[in-house]
Amino acid sequence: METDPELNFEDIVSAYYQPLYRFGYSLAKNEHEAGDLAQQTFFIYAEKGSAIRDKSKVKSWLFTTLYREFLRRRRKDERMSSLEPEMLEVVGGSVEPHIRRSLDAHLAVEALEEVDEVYRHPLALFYLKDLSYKEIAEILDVPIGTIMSRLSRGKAQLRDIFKRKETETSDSAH
Amino acid sequence: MEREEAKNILQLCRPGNEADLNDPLIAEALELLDTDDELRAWFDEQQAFDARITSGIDAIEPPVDLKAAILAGMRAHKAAASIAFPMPEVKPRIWWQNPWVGIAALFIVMMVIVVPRSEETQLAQNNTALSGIPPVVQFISEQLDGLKAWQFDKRDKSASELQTFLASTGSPSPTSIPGKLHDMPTIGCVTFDYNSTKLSMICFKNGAVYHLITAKKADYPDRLPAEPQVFELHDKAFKLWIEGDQVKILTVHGTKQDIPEFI
Repeated sequence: METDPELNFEDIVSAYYQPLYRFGYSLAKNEHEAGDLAQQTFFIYAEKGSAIRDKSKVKSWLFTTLYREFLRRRRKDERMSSLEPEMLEVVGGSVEPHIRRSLDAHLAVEALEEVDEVYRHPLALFYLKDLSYKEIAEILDVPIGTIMSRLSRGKAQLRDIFKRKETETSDSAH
Repeated sequence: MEREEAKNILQLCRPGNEADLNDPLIAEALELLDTDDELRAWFDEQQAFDARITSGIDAIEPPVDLKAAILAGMRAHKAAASIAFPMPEVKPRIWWQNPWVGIAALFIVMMVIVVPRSEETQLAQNNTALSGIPPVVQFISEQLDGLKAWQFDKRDKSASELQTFLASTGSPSPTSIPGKLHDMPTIGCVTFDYNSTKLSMICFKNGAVYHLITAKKADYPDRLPAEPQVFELHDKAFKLWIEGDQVKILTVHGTKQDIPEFI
């Protein structure tokens, strides 16, 4: 049975725009950039998605595309920063995302932002829960063993940062 | 399986994640929890920490209009793609019916025999001409690659200041700024000599950096397309159009999709 492509696209947007946005935020640390990345990912999907024969791969294709788009933009920004150093201010500024609920959630996001990039990317995908560790390895284009060690080290770093932030928060509350 | 090895695998298991629990590697490590109390305590502590971080990530709320913006943008994107700017149309013609082909062939043979090797830039220009991209676009692309901030003739955040400056120096100054660039701050302006004519460039920044190049139509040495045209060259996109007695080119690093509908 043929699926209405328009409806299919909406279903895919509904299913993945939130995790893609969250992944985009963890990469760019910027709310606007995260929205742009999610949007651009779906534009690319609208253009090239029909080439994906195995529909079970759509999810990891979307995350891979967003990640590559992020890397492409960053390379572009690096080139532009050699043209105009002020660009760094514009690109580098972090914009607080809308985070509902608890202080704990804020601490978690802030702590994750401070983790070294090499660990932050796999950690963000890991905590989104949508992808298996094998899929995370595919998206980031690194061997599974590397992902395992990056997750392990990243978690250790995240834990240290989280604890420090927790202590700072409780100290400032007293 | 050793305890340390099990820890390495168990840290892949996210709380309440069915797919992780069903992964054969993780399932094997989970079995050890029944017999190893120390490992169980470590695992429970890991799971509690993971749950806190997961809830933090889950709490990041996308903008409320993001989904609608994606769907609306996708439709607009589709519509724009169907109104592509026409590239120069070359009607296919059977080559042996064209007497110019013989002359061209003879000319090429003479060039190969007589003319010494051209410089690389000339070759690049010829290649560009063959692919339908105006040489001026190639020229601008090369200039942008090597441009540094200190090379600006004037730096100012106001486009009107830069327009006035360019006009005062006798360089082409855009008589109007395309609508969407109006609200963007500028970085500065610079002029280039191109085939004994002047090109001016004003740089705008708004997340991305947009460059608006202006030339006098009368000075413009290349063939002018009647309709606006969009090109991609290397890692940049260009839009070229004629406005009154001026030729304008808008360029940005990226693809055609990064060139918004400014005109």
